[in-house]
Amino acid sequence: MNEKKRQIMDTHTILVVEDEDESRQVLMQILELEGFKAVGAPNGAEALDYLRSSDLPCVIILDLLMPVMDGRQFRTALLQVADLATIPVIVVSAIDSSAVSDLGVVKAFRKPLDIDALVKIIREHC
Amino acid sequence: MAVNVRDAIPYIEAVRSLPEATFIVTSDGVVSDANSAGLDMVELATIGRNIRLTSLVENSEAEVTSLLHLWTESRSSMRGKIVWRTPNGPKACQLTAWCARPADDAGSGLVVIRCDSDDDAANRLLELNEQLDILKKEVVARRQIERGLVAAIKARDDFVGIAAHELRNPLNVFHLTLQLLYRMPVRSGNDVRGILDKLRAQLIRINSLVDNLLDVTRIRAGKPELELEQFDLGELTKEVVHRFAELHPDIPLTVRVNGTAAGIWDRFRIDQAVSNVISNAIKYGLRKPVSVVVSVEGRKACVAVQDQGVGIAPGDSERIFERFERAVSQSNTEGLGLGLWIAKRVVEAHGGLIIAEGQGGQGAVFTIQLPPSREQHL
Repeated sequence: MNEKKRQIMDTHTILVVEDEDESRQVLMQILELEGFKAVGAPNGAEALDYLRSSDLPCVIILDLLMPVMDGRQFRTALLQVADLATIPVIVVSAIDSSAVSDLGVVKAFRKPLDIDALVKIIREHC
Repeated sequence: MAVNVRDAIPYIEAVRSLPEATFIVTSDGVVSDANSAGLDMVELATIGRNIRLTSLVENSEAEVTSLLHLWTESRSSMRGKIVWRTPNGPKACQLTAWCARPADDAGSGLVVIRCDSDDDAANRLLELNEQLDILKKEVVARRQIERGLVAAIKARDDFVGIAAHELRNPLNVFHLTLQLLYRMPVRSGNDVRGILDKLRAQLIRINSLVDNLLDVTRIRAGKPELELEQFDLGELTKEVVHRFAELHPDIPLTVRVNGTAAGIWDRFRIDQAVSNVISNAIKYGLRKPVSVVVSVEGRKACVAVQDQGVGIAPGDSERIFERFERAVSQSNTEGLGLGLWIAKRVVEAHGGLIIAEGQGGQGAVFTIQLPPSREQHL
């Protein structure tokens, strides 16, 4: 692992909000291999809990269709808190990216996810 | 040709008894006689007083003159439309005239007037109204069918969207897992085996989704075909629960078997029904514990699946078994909305019952009840 990656891993956390356990865990493993620190939440409500109690991540990767609190509700809640509203959000969902055009996200990816493109965007913000 | 008066009498009598109003009219339009039906249409006193045909009809003088001209010129029968004056107002009638005069003589002819009676008109109006009512009902029925078709097309389109979404999720995991495999720097046998297990689990999931999709078409046409064999429902349920526990290690999933619940059923289909009910409990269970209990009640074998999730809203306990239906809005849950529909069809094909109980926000219990064999149920 090179010096740059070590530095990012030490200081840059990515929050993965995804209800699909396998998707979330595998994506987190990939992000760890890419040199980031990844934390996960299975829905918007748990993600908000994490944000209230931990250091802020440099990027949030957000699924849209989730139980309890879906991606749209979570994003709306983020925008109402000044500190949280500025965190870059990248949507990864099975639904059309046009559905998030009003959410003010950095980028919307459709599943199956293009990992290389995702990592490239993350590096622009972390 | 000379006409014997005696020979003409039967014809005269025949004309007098015609049901149609019949008049003797001269070529210049004077009405000189009428049969009894004709007399009913005019004032009795007017006949024989050189009453003119134009004074009996609403048509203009020119129209009547034209009709009579055609009649005398053609020296044969002719038809035309006239509007007869009646005490109740004008009435559209058909005029048929026969020229009875010799070729070289400007004599008289027979003019027959046929009008609908008031009763005929009333009956026709009634018929038309009845036809109109039938047409209106057809329009309403067709609109209803149209609305049904529009709803069915929308449901199908929604379903196709959901199906595509549902297939994308496991495909995404598959894709991500392959990416992980590419990126892993050290691949020990155990690492690779763990990843292959993940890939296999996703393939099972995709396969199950495709099976459910195919079953919609298979089962829609009627009851599913069953391949019966004897087995223990408790053992089968334990296998299903074990499978789900592997797929969802973070969700507490327990199974308890009380007694031996043996019977003659279709193993594949019952596995499918139990799997779909457990899958439903996991889907709506908010990641809380799900318990499965197999028991024997009387002669029936039962599987009860209890979750602590979103529950069932009042009035939804039947609806959730319909195709493409979900207990909550489509925005935040996965699944095709087919699982419970298929489970119900499968259980009913075995002569059994599937019952949903629960209240909104307080979890749900789905119970499958099966007779020991379909024959014993019937």
